[in-house]
Formats: sequence, structure tokens, C-alpha cells
Amino acid sequence: MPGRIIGETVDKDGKRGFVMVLQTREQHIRRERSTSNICSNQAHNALLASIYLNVMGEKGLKEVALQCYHKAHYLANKLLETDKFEMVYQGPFF
Amino acid sequence: MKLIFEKSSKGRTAYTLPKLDVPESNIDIPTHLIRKTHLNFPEVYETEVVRHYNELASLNYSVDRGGFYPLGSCTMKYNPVLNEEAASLEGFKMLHPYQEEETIQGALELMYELQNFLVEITGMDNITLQPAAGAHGELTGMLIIRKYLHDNNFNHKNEVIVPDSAHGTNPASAAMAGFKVIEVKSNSEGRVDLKKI
Repeated sequence: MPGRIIGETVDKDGKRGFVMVLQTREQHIRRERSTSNICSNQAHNALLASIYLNVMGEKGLKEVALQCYHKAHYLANKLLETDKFEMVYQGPFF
Repeated sequence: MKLIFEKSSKGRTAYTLPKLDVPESNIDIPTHLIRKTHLNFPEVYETEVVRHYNELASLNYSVDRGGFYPLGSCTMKYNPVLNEEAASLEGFKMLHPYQEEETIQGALELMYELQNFLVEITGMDNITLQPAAGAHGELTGMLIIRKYLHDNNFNHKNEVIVPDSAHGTNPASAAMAGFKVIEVKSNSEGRVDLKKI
């Protein structure tokens, strides 16, 4: 369930505008029936994440994922080579 | 203003990553976990990202632009810029909850003195700095009230009146503290309807 849905429309002068058409924040829509009273500012986290994704783009994100994969496997192999460690799980990791 | 997607141009990037300095391993990830479609991300230069978000920020209504927006108890109140400076001092900013006590004496002294100032200003027997955020403080307050009512045999006082225009954490905190929430409707001006109380 998205936290917010923003709709696109035009104002009376025909200029494009955006408006929040749905906000599912629990404290707003369920009030005293909410399961939590905490309303910390997640918008700040979402903003920073979207800036990060704009900076990285699809290409950058893929490169980060590949580097994580190769470095995680390099580390695992080097640890195993010492004979002081063993793999706890056999599943894929990245 | 344009959306960042409308500023996108194929092939533009805004990042630099360190070179991969370890040997490549065989990619062994189940194929169903690998995305097959393209991500619809904008392709922009770093300056475009910086300018885009600065332009958006300049549209914000804030104390620097003529007013203050009095909703919420933590992030939106008027905080003098000087407070940001003080809170950003390395000694405060880099603290960790698991640090040894003798390394955090400055912060403890500051909190202790603040506590004493607040006790003196409010005339209370004691205060707590424990709540970490607005809704947390709200819940703490409600729990203190409930304990007071209980200890003084006012257990029948178990209802909290909340305007329907109040922030949603208000009824949520009251309900979590075990109170029954009675909602009061707003009038046509969006204000608490005193007759309804």
C-alpha cells in the first residue's frame, strides 16, 4: 500500500498542478484505532532516498549491486581460505 | 517547474564509484531474483540533481521565507539556526548509546542541567528527558496522567476529549494509554465546536 498517491491536474489558468489524493498515514485515517501513535518524519528518509536514486540512476544502482556482490564473495572466499571460518548457510548471498 | 523525469537525457549520470578492486566472482543468483525490466529512473547530471532539489526547497514555506508552520512537536516548530549549530558540534553529533559513560560526561552534564532548569521553570517535582520525539512525549504524558488518576482514586475519569481537527497522534496516544477517546466535531470554520463539548 503506497503511503501517498499524488494526482496531476490543471489549475484554473490551465497550469499543471499536483495534489495529494490519498494519504494512508495510520494516525490520520484511523486515529484512536491506530496500532501505533508514532509518526516520525519518514518524508525526510524518502526524500534522501529519492535524491540517491536520481544520482545513481539505473546504471549506478546496478554497479553498486555488482560491487556489493563481488566484494561480499571476495570477503567470504578470503575468510574461508584462513580455515578459521566456515559457511553457515549455503544459499546465494550478495 | 519541470519534474526531474522531464530533465532526463539518455546517458547522463551523476555518480562516481570507486573502481572494483577485487576479482570478479561468477554471478550465482537465481534468475527469478534478477530484474528483467528497465527501471524508470531519470538520467541526469549531478548539477541537475542539485539544482532540481534546491529549486523544490525554495518553494517550501518556512520561517526563512516569511512564516512558520505550527504543526508537529519536533520537526516543524521554530528552531533557531543557532540550535542546529550547537547540536552539530562533533562531541554531540558523534555520540553513540553504547559509549562508555566517562566519555559522555559533557552531554550528561548538559542534560542534567537542562532537567534542573525545566524543574525550576515549571515548578514540577521532576521531569524526564526520556521521550525521543513528539508522539513519544505525548504518550509519556498520558501515562503519567493515568497513573495520577489511578493513585488518587479517579479511575472513573477514563475519557479524553479530542477535537477531530487534532493531529492523529493525539487520539492514538490517548487510546494507547488506555483512555476512551471522545471526538468533538469541528464547526464550519474548522474550529472546535464549543457547543458540542
